[in-house]
Amino acid sequence: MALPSPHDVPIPPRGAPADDPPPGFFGSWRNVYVCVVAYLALLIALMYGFRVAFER
Amino acid sequence: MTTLDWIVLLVTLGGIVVYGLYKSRNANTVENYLRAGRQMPWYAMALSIMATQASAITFISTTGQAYVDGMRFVQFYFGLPLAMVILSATAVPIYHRANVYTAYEYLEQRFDGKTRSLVSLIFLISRGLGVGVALSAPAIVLSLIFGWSDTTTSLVVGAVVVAYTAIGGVQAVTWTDFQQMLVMFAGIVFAFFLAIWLMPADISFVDALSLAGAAGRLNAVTVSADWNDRYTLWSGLLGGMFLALAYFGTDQSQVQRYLQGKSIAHSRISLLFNAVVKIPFQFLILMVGALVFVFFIFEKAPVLFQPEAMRAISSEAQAARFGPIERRYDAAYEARRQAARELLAADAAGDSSASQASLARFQQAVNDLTETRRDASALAAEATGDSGSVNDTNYIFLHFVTKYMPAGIVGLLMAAILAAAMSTISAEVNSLATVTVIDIYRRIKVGGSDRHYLWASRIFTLFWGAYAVVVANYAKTLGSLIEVVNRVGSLFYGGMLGVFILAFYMRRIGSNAAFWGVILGEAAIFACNYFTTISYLWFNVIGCVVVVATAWLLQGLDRKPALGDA
Repeated sequence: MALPSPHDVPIPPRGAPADDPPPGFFGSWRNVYVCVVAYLALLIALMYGFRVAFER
Repeated sequence: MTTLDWIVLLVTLGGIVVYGLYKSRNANTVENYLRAGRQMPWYAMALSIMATQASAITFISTTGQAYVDGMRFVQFYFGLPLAMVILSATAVPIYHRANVYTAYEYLEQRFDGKTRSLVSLIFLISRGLGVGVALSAPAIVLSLIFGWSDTTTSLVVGAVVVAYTAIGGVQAVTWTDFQQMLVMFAGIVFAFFLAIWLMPADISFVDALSLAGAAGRLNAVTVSADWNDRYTLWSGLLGGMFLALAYFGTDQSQVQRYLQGKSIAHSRISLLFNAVVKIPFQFLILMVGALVFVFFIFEKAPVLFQPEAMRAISSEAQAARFGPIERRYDAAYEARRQAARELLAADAAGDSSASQASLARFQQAVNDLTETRRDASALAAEATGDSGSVNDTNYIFLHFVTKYMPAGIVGLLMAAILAAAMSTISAEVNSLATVTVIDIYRRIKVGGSDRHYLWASRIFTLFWGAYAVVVANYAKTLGSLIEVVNRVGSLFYGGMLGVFILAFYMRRIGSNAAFWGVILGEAAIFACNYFTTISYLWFNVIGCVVVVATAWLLQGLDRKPALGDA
């Protein structure tokens, strides 16, 4: 029997199952993931800026 | 600790345990006991995942790490959000739809029983050793604070944790983790504001940051491409991602946290919450360490923070050798304090040449103090005859808390540290019992009643708790505890991550190829460990690559279509 793998279970950006709606205003899980990665980039940039601002 | 501290400590931890048991009062079936009836909300799982990862030794070591080495350790967590996104998109829906109690149960559905048994045994061996060390590490440190023996401390902590885990199962673990994480948040926020408040009146927060930066303690991001540098942006993003994928995606102590979710969405959000909160949380802990460093510029610290080591080098027998070290330390401390004052005054006056001169003196004094502490450490190791003794780094934050924090807050921070220890140990004992019952016992003793497996789960929880206490007593002789934990984990994580990558992403790989892939992957890791000098940090990657490559080659030779192929 074929078993679940990412190939069989694609990330459902639209028409998601009833038990798996993306949170709030994000619209799709893909948007949520993009926001998390963008947030990581922002955090790293802020920390780099923090270091540059205070390091002598 | 004062009476008020003891009251705060006992009421906080006692309240958490009672609350956890109250929330788990329906743990009367295997489904409720091991998977919370799949009704857990995302916020409880999210904080439980975070609490499981944050052990006591991480809590107290991280602040000390910032004191001695700066904030660059935060980069270790940069790969975590990427791993959380990958796991949310792939592993979470797969586990949920496979309707499993353990990650390894899924391997039988995808491959076969022998692959499931092999990986379950690998987990039991590695996590079984890990839980003993997880109990031993805080016991050694906290026994000095409480004035108890190591054995008594690990027995008391172990008994409390095992009691509520055995009674309430995963629900008790998750709800106590939830509360324990809130106590940890509160503790670190209090520590942050009190560290600022305890500074001399004329030292502002910006002044403190300026001094920490001048001493190189705010190095949160380092972009060097030096492979020997353990914490850089690149090693954090790549190595950290692999480690987080293995830990959160294949280790039952974490997978069990999000298998209880009400829905796929709840489980995904619990992981993504960690992706968002973990780095700022670690940043805050490290910031406290950097502020403690600045605090001790103006308040004289002992040469070494570890009381036993300090006693050993201050003894009559070591007086001739410690005397010169102490005099060097005193001179360097005074030079650093004066240079810090001059630097701030020059900055305030806008005098750049005076500022440069005092900066050079300040940095020289910082280096001199570091050198003196290193000499004192070497002397202490020689005097105690125990080169594997707990690193002085672990005692810096404890010294700061117990000597300078007001009564009541000390109790709260001790509660936070103990909460960190308890949350990790309870999740690990719970996951060990779950794997023992679901992946081993239930397949040997087939056809038992639900009540039978429920009691088996409770008994195996007690067994693993007792095992942890026994191992904890031996673990202290194994050398640096953090290194023991990381080394043991690295011996097995590569193989486990490899087989799950095969299961999730390479549908053509069949059971035999996967099984022999894991065997050869583990053989490669052990060969690297015994016959090469490669750092154990690379074992995850090596093991994972060998498992995937071997399975791919074997499947190619076999030519037989794998499960899932029509």
